Amino acid sequence: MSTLLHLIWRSLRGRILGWLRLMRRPKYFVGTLAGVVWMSLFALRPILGVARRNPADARLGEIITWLPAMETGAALLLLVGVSLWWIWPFGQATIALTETELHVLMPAPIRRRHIIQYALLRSQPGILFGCLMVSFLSVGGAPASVAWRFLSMWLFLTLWNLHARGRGLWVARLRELPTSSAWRRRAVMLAAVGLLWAMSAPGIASVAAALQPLDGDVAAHLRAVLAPDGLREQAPTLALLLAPARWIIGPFFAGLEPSATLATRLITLVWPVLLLGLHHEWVVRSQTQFEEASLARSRRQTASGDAGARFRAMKQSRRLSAPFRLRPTGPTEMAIVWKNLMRAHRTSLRLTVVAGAAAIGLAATVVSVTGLPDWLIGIMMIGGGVGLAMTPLMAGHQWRNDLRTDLLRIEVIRTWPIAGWRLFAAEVCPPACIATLYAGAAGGALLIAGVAAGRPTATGSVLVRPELATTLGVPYVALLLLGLATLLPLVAAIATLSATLQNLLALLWPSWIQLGLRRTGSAAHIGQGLLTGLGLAAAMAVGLLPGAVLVGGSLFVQIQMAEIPLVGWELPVLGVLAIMPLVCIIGLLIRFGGVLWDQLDPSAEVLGASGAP
Amino acid sequence: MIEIRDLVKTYDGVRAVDGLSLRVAPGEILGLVGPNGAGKTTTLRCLAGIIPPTSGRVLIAGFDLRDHPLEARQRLAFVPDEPHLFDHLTTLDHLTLFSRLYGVADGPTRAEAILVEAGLRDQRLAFPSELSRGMKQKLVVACALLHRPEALVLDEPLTGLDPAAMRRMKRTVRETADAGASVIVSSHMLQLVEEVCDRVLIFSSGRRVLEGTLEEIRRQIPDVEADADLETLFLKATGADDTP
Repeated sequence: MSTLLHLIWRSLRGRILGWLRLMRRPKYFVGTLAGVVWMSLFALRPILGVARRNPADARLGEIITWLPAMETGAALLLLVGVSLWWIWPFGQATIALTETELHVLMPAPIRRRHIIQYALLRSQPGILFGCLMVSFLSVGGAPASVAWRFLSMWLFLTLWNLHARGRGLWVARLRELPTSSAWRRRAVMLAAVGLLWAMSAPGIASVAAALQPLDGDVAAHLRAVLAPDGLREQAPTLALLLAPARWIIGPFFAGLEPSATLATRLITLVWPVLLLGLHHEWVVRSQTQFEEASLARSRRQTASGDAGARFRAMKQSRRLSAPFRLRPTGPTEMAIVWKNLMRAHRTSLRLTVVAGAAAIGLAATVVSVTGLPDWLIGIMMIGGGVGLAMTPLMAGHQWRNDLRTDLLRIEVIRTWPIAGWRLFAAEVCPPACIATLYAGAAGGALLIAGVAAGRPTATGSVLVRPELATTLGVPYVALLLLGLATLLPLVAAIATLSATLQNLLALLWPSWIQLGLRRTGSAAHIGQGLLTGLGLAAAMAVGLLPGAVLVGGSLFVQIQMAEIPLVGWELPVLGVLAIMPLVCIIGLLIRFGGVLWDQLDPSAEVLGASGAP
Repeated sequence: MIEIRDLVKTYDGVRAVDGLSLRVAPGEILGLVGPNGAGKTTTLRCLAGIIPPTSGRVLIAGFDLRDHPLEARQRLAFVPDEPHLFDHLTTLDHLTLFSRLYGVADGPTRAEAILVEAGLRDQRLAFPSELSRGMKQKLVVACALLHRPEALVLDEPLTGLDPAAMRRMKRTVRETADAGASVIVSSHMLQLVEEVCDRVLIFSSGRRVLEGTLEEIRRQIPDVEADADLETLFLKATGADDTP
């Protein structure tokens, strides 16, 4: 086992050293610092006194009265869930080992139980990180409560993990046994679960019956019936059967109970810790052949990370289609746009736009005659509005068919005869383009809802007041269309800005950004998200405020000084005017991206050649 | 013409390439050989403009890669040791992409011809994940040759190829050089280098050890048989010869 522990230690040490090496570069250090500070602010909220002022604490007091009932509900859920899980006939021996570990460890003179223990230990970082995040980020509690929350969650998740491994090994063992023995074991399990349910059913029915005649304070009665004392009185067998499940989740609920002393809390740990020990022995002593299943699992995981699997399933006829036809000569950057759009979809762009516009137009025409229910208009307005606002902001986060994916092929793209800034612009374009299309669809929904809301018979919410159309001298529907035409350039500009910032980050911190389609949630990445959000907000403020001033100025000159009234047809022009400063900022950022691309030395940060020729 | 002058590449204080100079004339094939970690791949990456050199100059067909990168890259083709392909593009898509990138006016017709020549016609609509290692390698070379480069750089071009494909690859390299391109081939397969290359550069610890035709190299190493092959010469030159 010491060899395996050494292996774990060396892997961990390697990761830490790699991370520290990265921190020697100021740009990585600053990014990580931002992430750590942000997380620390969350973690230290109780000490800083933020939690005590949090109004959530008032709600916490109300929740506490529900704790015993919630504990019973959770125990019942656990009992039903686990029993159903055991009669589910499928499963496999999922001892999580990578293909390399299997090939290296299996032939080595290492005891089988130690290999299983090694696999179990390897799953611990994920569990610990998850518990840490939930403990720190969940609202409320003093530092001791946060620590207890962490401990109780870790106990539960580790126990659950061990139970899942044990159950998987048990199912796999059935396949190794002679058919008659396997069926006998299955029958025993089915009988045990059936007996458990048969014994629980009267109790559940009795609780349900007690709740039926309620006509007053339902909540108070429910609390009373589901509280341990009430349940023991109402359904003693069910209360007895739920006891083991209640003990498992006991530590978590003890942590939520403000009156629980440390001794009471520690007592709740006894049963889960005992179960943990028993589960551990059950799993590590298993004689089930898990090697094949583990190998299959690791290969499946590799295949799921393989983007090629998605494309292999594509029909032959589909493989000939493309977003647009790429001629052999013309601006080089169009080749990159074409390539990256194809990563998302092969549907013709022209067809998408024409068909989408036709569908929206048709739907708007139909609803202008038939109308829509008010609730549907409301949903479409909210959904369309949120989609129109959020899609461009999230463009760089949502779609990664840009430099973040192409950096993995740097040995190819770096040799292309294209200027750095033009390559950068081409890389930024596809996610922005896709986000604009989606936002356009959301705008279409908003338009349809606006058309329906503008009908004389409509009674619900109104998107644009019909009087405004009269004032601006255009028909109502035309005003809606003009409004959409005004917003779409803004949407496209914000989407481009979002994608530009994400790609700039990829060039500034290539080792930090998850290249390809993968994302993780370490402190560094949270810091990165924070910096991107701040950058987006700053760039939008710097870009949109002058735009607003420009629009305001031009309107002042037109209306106040020249005394020319505003007409609806001017709106798209004002929209374009409003985004001009933003477009200038994007242009500057793209130029900066080009400089970064030209100066990028990918040896250490992308190609991993640090110190090794 | 490919020319490198005093190329230096340093990683964290370690000199991976230490003042290398070389020149490959049009129509000539230079074999770059050296032990693992000698700095071959780093040299080729600097040559292809993938990583910037710490100092020194790289000229492709007379264009300095630093001062005129687009002109230099337009005339260069680099085949890395791993076939890096875009997993969402078919074989035909790759050739379409490279046609546009390098502005090959007869791209579609040339792409079809190259597909036939490389034996990939039946895989024209296949994605990289549907191709074998050898087929991927052929596709990478096909993409590299599409724009008729004046300088071709190949890093371990025969890895993963079957004997027939190896023969075809050797023929392609020779034909490309005969068409007037300067070619650099880096490989551990010394027989390939001996067979295909006009000159050989033996490289170790980032420095040139020996350079010349096989005959010239034989003359530079004392106590070596007159018909010694490249393997023997390489082992002697790099001090890795442990035969008694």
